[in-house]
Amino acid sequence: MRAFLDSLAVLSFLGTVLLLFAFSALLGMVRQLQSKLVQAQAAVPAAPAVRSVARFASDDGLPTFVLVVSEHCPNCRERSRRLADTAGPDRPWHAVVLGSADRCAEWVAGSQVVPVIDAALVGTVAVGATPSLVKYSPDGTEEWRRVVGSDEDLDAFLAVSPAERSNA
Amino acid sequence: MQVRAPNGQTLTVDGNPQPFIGGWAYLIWAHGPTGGIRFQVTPAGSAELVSKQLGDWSRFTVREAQWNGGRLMSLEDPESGTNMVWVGPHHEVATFINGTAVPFETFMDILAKFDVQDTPEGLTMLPRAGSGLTLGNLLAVNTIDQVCNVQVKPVADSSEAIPRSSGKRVRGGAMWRVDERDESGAVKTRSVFVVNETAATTVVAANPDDSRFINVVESLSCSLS
Repeated sequence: MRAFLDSLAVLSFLGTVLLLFAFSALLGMVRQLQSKLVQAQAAVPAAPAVRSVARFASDDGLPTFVLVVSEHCPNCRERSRRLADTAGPDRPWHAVVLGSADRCAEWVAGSQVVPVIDAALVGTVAVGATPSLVKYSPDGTEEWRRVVGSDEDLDAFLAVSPAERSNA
Repeated sequence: MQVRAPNGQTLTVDGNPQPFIGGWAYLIWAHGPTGGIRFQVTPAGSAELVSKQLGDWSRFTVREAQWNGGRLMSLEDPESGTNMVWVGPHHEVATFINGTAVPFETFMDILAKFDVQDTPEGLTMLPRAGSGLTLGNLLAVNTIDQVCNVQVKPVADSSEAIPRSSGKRVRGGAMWRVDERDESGAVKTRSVFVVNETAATTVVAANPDDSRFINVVESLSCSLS
């Protein structure tokens, strides 16, 4: 472990490397490329094709948030529990956890979140990374999908304000 | 010792009297029609451990998800930007993206342009056909504890840096010594530059007068194929 921690000094060396070695050429290139990178990032990737899942339609006019999770993913468990803590009858949306293993349902047991364990449906929804939050409008049409990297991001995507959370 | 560099080349290093302290760290650029992106490829877990060691971790807003059999991490520094990392079973690949609140999708879109393969020998990330990207400016870095730091580049990338004078013959190729001195004339940084048919290697001494450094310079051989 000690040796490995030492090897991390290699990384801090990388900064020195840029200075020591081919200083002017490389640094000039870095600046040029960085400016181009900013431009490249301004080009937003195309939105995925609109998809529709009849099962996530609702008859009360409220949208449905579907948290797509995978079984062996600690973050998926944490985000599911956060969703379970957040969901309630007074929220203007429905909440679903979608996974392919039964233990995913246990993460939201006893809450207002409906577990849907359906491997085929997980394949159909086909998110890249887990956990991802997908919002479906009342007619079951997908509005957007986002990878959820933290509890704070989940709150933001659900539009739950910190004040609401502390009152809950 | 043979390892695999991110561009698929084999890096062969031998003759080092003391072992390297860990796995190799690589810098590599992907160039495309819209510019270039810099990647760092390092042993899995490095970004997290390094930033904890350097005291940066507490500044970061940390996000994490799961993707393609590995962990996706976003380490957001509110003052500078976001380090995005994919941590595979053996190695990780990281890049820096300007700005905050950068969605994971931005990084996933970038990585999807590469065929990323992570094996114990190394992580390769070859651009997919049609991506319009080419890899370049490979730099491989490692350290022999308390003796020196070793930096290896493809010789083609270093042609401008090779001195016209003939270098001293050592096992690893032709060698030139480079001393940086302070105002009083004392050697501040001592390094050597070793060039052979495939690789240009810079070895930076931790201590200019260490005989162990001389031994490394005499016997170390690095090549890329």
